[in-house]
Amino acid sequence: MKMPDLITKLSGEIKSVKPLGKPIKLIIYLLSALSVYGIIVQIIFGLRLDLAAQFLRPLFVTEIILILLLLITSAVAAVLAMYPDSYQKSQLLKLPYIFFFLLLLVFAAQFFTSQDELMIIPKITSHAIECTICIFVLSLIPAVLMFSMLQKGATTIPLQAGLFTTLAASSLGYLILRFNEMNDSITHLVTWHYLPILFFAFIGSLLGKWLLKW
Amino acid sequence: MVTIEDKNKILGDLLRCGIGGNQTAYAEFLKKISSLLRPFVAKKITSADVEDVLQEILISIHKARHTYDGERPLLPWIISIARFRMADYLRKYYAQMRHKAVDKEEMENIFADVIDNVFDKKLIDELIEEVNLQNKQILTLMHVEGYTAKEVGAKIGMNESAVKVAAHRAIKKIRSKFKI
Repeated sequence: MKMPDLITKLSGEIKSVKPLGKPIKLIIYLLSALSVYGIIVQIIFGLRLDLAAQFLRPLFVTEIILILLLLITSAVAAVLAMYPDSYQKSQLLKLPYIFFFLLLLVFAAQFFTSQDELMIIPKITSHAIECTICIFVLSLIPAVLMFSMLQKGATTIPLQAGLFTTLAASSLGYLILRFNEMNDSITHLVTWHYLPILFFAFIGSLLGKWLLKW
Repeated sequence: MVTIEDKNKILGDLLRCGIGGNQTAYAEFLKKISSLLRPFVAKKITSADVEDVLQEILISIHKARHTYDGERPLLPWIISIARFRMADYLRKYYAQMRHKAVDKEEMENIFADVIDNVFDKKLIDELIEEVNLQNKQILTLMHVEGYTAKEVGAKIGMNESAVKVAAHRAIKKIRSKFKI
């Protein structure tokens, strides 16, 4: 087809379209949906009995704040990735990586500092891979919701968009499980909670490439 | 002199009118965009494919028009889409080049072995004669004319995987016949 013909064809097809809207509106909608989901699932799962005491541990509080920040920044980055130019705020897309790395530093700090008496380290680990499966299952609905939302956009960074989506969804799963499971063993947390998030993010990037084509 | 801000404003106004349903403004917007992007595309893409890539970019801009709200400069939005489509094109282009190079090497290996074994170049034609008409057509299209399995499939009305299987079986037949 020649260029003038294409222009005539495209302008002939033009009709009033509903704009995607500002990212802030989508971010508020997404975070509200994730919060509602998180609260409902947490009510069903229940809270660990020593949760109030755990909040006296600075490293636990830091870990929770970082995972919350990881969740929020990943959701924000995923929404921005819906726009071809990332709404010209591409510097915000670096934040999830920073918080993910800081979370690793918090684990390292907990590993190398003397064990806090408030930390619950089970002598016999009752579950391991079950935690990863649980995070995966808890992340499914948020991930489906986010991918279907992102498909309405026109991303030019599908790999990253998919990665942010699964990062946000699995950090929500991580948070729910952390408030439920009475196990503060760093080895357990890194192996069965933290590293699986990295793995899910990798899978998410592949899914992004496949699901976010346009 | 027209500054970047002026260009952003003019194009932004045209696109906003277009999104609102004004066909003339939208056609004008697309015309301006195509002349603006042509030199940008021509810098990275071989001249024979510039028009195709430019058309891909215009179609993508058309599809993504709902993501522009007029609140931010338009040119970075357009350039992001253009870069994305050019990267897509280059990825496919290099993949095709690699595919062709591998196929050529594979066929050269088969033919070189035969020629070494029987000292008769006429056998090359006989090699392909060994397989049925459809497979002969598939081998010719893929390994002589350089089409991909997907393109061959579209030409002869088969799906991509069926073409790959047919080509693989045909080569296997040739190999077993001539004990290559």
